[in-house]
Amino acid sequence: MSPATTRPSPGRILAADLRAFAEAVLEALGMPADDAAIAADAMVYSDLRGAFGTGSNRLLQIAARSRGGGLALHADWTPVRETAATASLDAAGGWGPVAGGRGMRLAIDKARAVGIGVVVVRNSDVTAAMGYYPALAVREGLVGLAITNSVPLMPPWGSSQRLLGNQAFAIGAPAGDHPPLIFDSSTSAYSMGLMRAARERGEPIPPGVALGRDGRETTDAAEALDTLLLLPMGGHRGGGLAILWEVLTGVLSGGRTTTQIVGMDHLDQAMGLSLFLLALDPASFLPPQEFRARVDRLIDEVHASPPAPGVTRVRVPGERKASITVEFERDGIPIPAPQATAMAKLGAELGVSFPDR
Amino acid sequence: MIEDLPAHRSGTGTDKRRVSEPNELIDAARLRAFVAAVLERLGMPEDDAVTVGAAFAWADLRGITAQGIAKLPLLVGRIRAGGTPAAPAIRVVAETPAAAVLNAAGAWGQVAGTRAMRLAIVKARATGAGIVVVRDTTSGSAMGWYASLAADEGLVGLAINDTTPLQAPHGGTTRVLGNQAFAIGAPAARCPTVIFDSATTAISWTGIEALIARGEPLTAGLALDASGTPTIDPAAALAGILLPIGGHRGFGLSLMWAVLTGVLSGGARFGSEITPIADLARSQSVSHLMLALDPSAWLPRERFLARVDTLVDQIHASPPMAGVQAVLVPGERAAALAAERERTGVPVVPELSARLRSLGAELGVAW
Repeated sequence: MSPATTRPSPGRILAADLRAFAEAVLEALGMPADDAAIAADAMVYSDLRGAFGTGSNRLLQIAARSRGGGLALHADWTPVRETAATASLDAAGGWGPVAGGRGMRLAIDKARAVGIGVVVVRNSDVTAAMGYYPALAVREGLVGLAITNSVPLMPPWGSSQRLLGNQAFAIGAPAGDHPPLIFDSSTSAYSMGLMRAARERGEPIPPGVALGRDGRETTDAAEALDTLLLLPMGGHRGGGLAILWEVLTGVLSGGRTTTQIVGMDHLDQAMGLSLFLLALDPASFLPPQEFRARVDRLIDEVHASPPAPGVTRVRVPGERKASITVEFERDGIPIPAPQATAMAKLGAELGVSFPDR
Repeated sequence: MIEDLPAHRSGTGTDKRRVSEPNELIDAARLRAFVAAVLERLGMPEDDAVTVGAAFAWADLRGITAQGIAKLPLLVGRIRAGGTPAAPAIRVVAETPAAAVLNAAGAWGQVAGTRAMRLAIVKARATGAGIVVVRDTTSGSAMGWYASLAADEGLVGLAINDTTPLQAPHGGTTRVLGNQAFAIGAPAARCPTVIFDSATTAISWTGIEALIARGEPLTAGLALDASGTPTIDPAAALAGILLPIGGHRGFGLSLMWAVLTGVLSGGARFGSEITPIADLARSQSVSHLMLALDPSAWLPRERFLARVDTLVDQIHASPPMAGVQAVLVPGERAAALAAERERTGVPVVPELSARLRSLGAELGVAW
């Protein structure tokens, strides 16, 4: 037998089956096949990293948002403006990973030609997970950077009134023998996902990550999720980065900014997100094999740092997720049962059967 | 004469040193000219010497004292010891219409970095985006200077440099990365240029030195001592290891900045191998990345500038928290200070002015 199995472990779904299911559902909803392939690829990217919230679970949001009228399933991907190294795309309410995936592919083409490509997208729907976009560049041996703005979640530093998004961003670089570096972050001190997890477990969140109803810091996860007043990482530093990320996304795209952006729960309204996508071809700077070998050396240096007490291993960004991916590629993806049930129901409505588990 | 003026005490938080003797207030133009004259005497080409003078004054005007003329004795020491050639042959070693690699051949950071950003600006004007990576230079000093070069031309600029290792990876206990200072600048129409200038460590060496001068401890969680144990003793932190902003987030950013500088430049050293700038006789082998974006590749220029103004207005309109006077955008406080200091002069502490006066005397340049 080859190491790649053709049957998943019990309760799991093979990535290829999940991708095919997602594509079929999207096409049944009315998304063009090319775009459905990109959207499904982005979903499976998240599922393969255990980020189920931004994985194939998004099919349910796509169905709800397209039926509600907020999400457009068709868009014209012809650049609005274009130079040798840059382009501007108008997603016209199209799905974020499709807009961002197309934007990054265009950036990659430009980087191959002139060393760097920068594509800015406006009027996009849901954009997460950000790591997907640099991963597209990394698959091609390029360095990728992606930034998005979001519905207001953070006050500017010094205020207690929400204005800026948490401005998720990700940077990826290919390595040689090691898995690629994929740094996926936001400018807030704490992620929404960790806050929800803390609320479910009834645990507090750390001090200094969110403001409560009285505009003072709170450690109550439920209160923080209610007020949605996240604090930036590193205080004024993360706060400043969030402002510049707004300049590179909403301001530069010509799309909506800050308080004009609409949350995804408003099913009948376009969100109006922007994406900044940058690709660099290392081959324009040094021989590509040398670049990869140097990334490996940098990773080796990090690994060689003796761990602090209580730390088992010093890791680089993307490393933990890469090991999950290896397991899920081999054994299948353990989609949580409630999600699987909901997706199977959506599939049944559209005449698409859910993969065997 | 200006010796009889009272000591200048700035409220920016960057000049916190208390001195018994009054500071000298030096006119910014005089400061620029002094630096340029000293460097020309040491063999630096006039253009480069003028650049360094302008870059030092830019930092001093904004209260970034450690990256201003206070660094001139260090630069002079490096030129004299051979670690920094005064007139290196800086060459473009790889080039496309939008990208280039500069081999700085050991050039001082502000000489190489300024040249790199200017080249990135030219490329951005032609193709919308320009990226120039520099190898074999020294620390770029105040990174905001490079971002401001782009912003002054109506472009968006990003500048990153790697530096001497002083930061541990998240969960690690040894110095692997520099503080990877970086800056992003964006021009506005009505409002001052937005200049975000930061490091990826939770506190800078300069910040720690200020604490030592005031006899204050560090906040917990910012540093480890040399053995890798958390410390709040600023002297132990200086001899030890700085921690990244936001834990794994700051570390991730710092690591990716190392990829985009030392790894990508093809320079002789990167990561933990970069030598300290105080090691006067050795080349540091720092790398820089300079990125310029021409907003007119995406939007009519005026529209972009007006949109930056709108964002700044929104930030200004945010109600301040208790204890906060006004909600500001990055670079705003520094721009106000620079405007004031253009009028009043740049304060120079007595120890430094004595040192510069004697340096000038050695070289026949009047302080």
